[in-house]
Amino acid sequence: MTDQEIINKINEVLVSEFEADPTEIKPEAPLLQTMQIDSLDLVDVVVLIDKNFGIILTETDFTELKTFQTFYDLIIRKIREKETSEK
Amino acid sequence: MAEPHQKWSGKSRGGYWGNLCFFWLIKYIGLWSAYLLLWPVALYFIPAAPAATVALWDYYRRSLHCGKLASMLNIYLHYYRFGQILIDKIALNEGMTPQYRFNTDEVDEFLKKFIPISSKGAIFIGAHIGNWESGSHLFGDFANKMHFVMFRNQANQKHTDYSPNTLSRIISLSENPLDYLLKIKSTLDQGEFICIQGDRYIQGQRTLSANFMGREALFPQGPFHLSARFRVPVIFYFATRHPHKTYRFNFRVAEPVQTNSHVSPALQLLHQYITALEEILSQTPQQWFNFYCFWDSAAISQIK
Repeated sequence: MTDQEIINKINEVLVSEFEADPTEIKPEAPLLQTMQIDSLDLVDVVVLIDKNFGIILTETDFTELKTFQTFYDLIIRKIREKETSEK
Repeated sequence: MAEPHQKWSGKSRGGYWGNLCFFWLIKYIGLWSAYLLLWPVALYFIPAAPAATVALWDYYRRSLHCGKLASMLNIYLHYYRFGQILIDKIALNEGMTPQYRFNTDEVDEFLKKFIPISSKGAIFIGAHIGNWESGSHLFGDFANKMHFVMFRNQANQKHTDYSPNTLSRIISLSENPLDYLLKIKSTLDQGEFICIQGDRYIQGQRTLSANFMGREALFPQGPFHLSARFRVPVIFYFATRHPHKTYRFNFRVAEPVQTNSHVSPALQLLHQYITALEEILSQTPQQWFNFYCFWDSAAISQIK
């Protein structure tokens, strides 16, 4: 899976599960405000990322989360770490 | 006059000296003396806890449709039941378990049926009915996997109610919701069990509105949303007190939610929970221990 494919998949999940407006999803846009999500929704994010990519997000992962880009970077990094550990 | 639409503040009532007095009676005189002292104490609480009394009046008059005299009597007995269960909690914690009876058959039957499917963890949703904690010592190894979710000040208060082993399994609702929500998730991922109450919320929490005992009421969204989202078995669990110091454990395994329904999975679970709750309350109406106006019309109209 390329980085762009991962980003597309993340956006697809956010649009379908959180009814986000696709035009508002921009790399520099603030994630939480744009999506209007609270902590209960963040748990949904954790579950959906686990289901779609097989990676577990922890509380510390969310502390540096600001924009969609930082979220993409986090998921891509975790997926790459997982791929490396499985080799 | 107390404010009738007061929401639950996140704190439970209880005075140090009063508790100490009952503790002393239970330990050095006998359970009977504590139950005896409770009769005047329950009477005292009718004027001394006006907001709670108003809420109980509303509960008996408008939800259970009792007459005025019956409501007054029920309020008195309601306070008595509450005190009785607090006494029992202390007694059970002091090792007086042999003085009580438990419907262990139903616990055994439930555990036998449930354990084979419990490898992925489960959520037990209870209510402020009866004595929720009284049964855990009967659950054997199962009890060691049970984690209790509660408000922080309740957790502090529970230091007198729980053994150190149980205290280590309390998940406190801290200021950072993500912290405890992820703790709940990791607990379930480890195949362990979450016990959470489904009938109280505090200001600012997300709620669901549903018909409960004929009137619209608000319930916390969290327990039902998480249960639906994590796709783990959900069990409604209530422990009620009966005559002759007998406790009965009631388990209801929730039906799986329909994902293609127009009703959200969380609301489907809430409807099942309410059905179970109403059934239990029809049998033990005096063991409903939410001492604030549960059917808060002002709050409900705000969310509509």
